[in-house]
Amino acid sequence: MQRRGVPGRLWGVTDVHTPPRAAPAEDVYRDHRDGLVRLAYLLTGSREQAEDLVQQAFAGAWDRWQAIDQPLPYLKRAIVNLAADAQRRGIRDRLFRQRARVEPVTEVPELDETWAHIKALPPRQRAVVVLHYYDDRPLNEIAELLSRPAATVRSDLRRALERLRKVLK
Amino acid sequence: MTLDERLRRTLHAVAEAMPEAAPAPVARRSRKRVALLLGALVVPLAAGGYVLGAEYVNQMPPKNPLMAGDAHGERYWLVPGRVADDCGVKVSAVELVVEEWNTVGDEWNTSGSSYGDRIVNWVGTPTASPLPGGGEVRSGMSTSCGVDETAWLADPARFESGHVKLDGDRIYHVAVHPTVRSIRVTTPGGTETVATITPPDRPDGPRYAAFDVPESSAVIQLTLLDAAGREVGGRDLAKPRTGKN
Repeated sequence: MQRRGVPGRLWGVTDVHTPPRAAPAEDVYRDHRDGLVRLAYLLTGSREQAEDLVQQAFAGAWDRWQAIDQPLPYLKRAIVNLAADAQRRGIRDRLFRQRARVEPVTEVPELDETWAHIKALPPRQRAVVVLHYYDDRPLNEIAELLSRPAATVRSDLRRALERLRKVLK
Repeated sequence: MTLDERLRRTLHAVAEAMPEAAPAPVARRSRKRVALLLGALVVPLAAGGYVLGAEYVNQMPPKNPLMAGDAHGERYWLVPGRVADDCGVKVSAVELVVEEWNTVGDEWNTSGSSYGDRIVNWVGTPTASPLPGGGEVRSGMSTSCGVDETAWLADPARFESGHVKLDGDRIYHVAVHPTVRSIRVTTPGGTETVATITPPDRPDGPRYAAFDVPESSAVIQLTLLDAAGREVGGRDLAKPRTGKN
């Protein structure tokens, strides 16, 4: 179909769509691995587990790399899902995730306390908080990245903030 | 410092302070071992009803929803019943699945409502009650074995309902007579009509529906409607139950 803009000039016309070629996996790994590990660390609270998740995410994407248009969002989505799955499987988390234990991480008591309560959030709410406040993603992008309705993501964030507001008074 | 600023600062500071990788790999407990431990943990809870079961959520949204709803962003579904009683009869023909409580990897956390009077088989010896007024005390063992729908099918107005609370909303699930094709729900916030559904294995049997209302609703008037839109019964769910309904 052709759309006409300025008279005599065709625009937006194409029959052949060539998707942008994804960056080579090695480049993405080299440039973004550290950032992805930090993201995974905020989602899991464990450096070792964060590295495992990033490794798994890359391994899962490796075979179909050419079919992935946007590797970074794809990897982030995989990491969020893997972190949530791991958290749900963990017996210790299952039993204790409602309790916030303050451990010295940043050496700033106020931030350590905040971190303890972020870690106690349910996996989905925690993921939205991390993607919004650390990864600086607007909620509609988070919804897209997580393949969830925008209203659900807004609700997750609202609940997380309500919960944090109560405990951080 | 606002909460937004505090969260932003915290997350960036924690990410910066991320510890170095462990110098040596740590032996991990196998997934099989974890699964066995989880199984052991849920068994005692499962015996108390069908809130928890041995099966785990493997995908969300569920693959076989019969009805879907959305309570201010919290999705929920009615799916075919999953949990059977002592005789292999489903405890509830359909179950309410709320997304918030059923995340992939967790055990199912659902609720349901049965249509009919539960049949309980009891084995034991009755003894006279020592309390004033006499009567009978039963001790022994009982098993739950299906439901008797006879009295319910004779009265199209009879129905069963249950609800769960969810952060400002109530999600109701109802089991109604086979002739009830829709229910009208009226609250101070407005009126909506919800179609009833049947599970695939019993298309002519009792029908089911789910809907959400604000938790603060002082009135939740439920009206049962047949295929022609005629009222066949109903009541205000916000008020204590009286009589059969």
